[in-house]
Amino acid sequence: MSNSNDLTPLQSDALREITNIGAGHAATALSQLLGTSISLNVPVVNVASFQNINLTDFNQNNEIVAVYLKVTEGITGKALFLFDPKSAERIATLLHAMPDSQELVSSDIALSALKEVGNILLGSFLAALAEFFGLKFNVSVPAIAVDMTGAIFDGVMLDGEFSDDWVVIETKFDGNHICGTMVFLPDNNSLNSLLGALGL
Amino acid sequence: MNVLNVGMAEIKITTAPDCLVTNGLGSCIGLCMYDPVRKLGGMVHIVLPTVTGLADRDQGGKYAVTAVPLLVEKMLGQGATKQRLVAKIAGGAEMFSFPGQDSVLKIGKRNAEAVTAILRESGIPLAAADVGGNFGRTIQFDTNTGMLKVKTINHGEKVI
Repeated sequence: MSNSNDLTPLQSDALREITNIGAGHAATALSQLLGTSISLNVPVVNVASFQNINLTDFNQNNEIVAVYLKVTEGITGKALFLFDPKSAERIATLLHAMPDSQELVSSDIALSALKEVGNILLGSFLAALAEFFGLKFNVSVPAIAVDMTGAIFDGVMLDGEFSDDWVVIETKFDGNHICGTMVFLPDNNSLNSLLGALGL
Repeated sequence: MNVLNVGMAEIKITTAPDCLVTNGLGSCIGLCMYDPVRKLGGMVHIVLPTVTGLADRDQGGKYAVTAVPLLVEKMLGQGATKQRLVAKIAGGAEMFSFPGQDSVLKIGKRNAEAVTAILRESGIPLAAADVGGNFGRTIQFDTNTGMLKVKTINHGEKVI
């Protein structure tokens, strides 16, 4: 497969299936971290041009909290964990990292805790995938932003090599009034090697 | 009044009393051009400074190098006079910061510099700019007044 424009139904299914394995590890990590049960939705796989990257239930102007990791080796691409601000505050509160008199966005301790949560979740997702495929993986340090969804995605797409077409793999988590969305954007190389390893 | 939404790499031109809007600019640049006499306004949502791979001719609005001359051409085509054209820009942020990141990789900054330089070469005055920082912007350009409203989530709102 040379172009991400043409994922076959079988390829989409395979990506959904392997994402589900990795996301299961991430959900377990989140559940243990917060001491609450977390359930996982079936991953959604979409192919979109850079002009039309839309996640389900996200509006471009809405505020989100985004933790972003670049995967620089192995399953290369971009990985994000997104929380709505209410869920982010709830997580920070459960971790005793939410100061009473401060807003999330101006609290370094809350943002740093959330960044670490995102890092752990994305790390367990990627580690599970890497193990499944027998690959090494290496990631950047995590970065966090609290801003409009559109601007976050614009920033992510323009970070590093630019591509006109993107495969967007999205998995929703929820439980105990916490909702989160994990997004993985494999680059063309890793997409080809993942699908190649599966014989697709 | 109609509100026209300008998506990534799109170019749109309209006249008073319409507004041109781009939602959620991160590292991209929203470039607005205005002819105050004709009350004609144009906006392009620029994604990258220069053509990186195979240039796609349908996407002239994507790159600063092609978007600036194309917007000028379209403005003139709609009856604008070049001597009257003024430009305003917003965007060019770095949404995520990684420690020790090379400034060469700062795409928002490179976008803003490229658009500014090409405007200068084209002889179009840059009347106002709100660029940089680490936050997103939603912009609304009023073709009645030529004013550009810049909205952010945690960094206030201004009109330039």
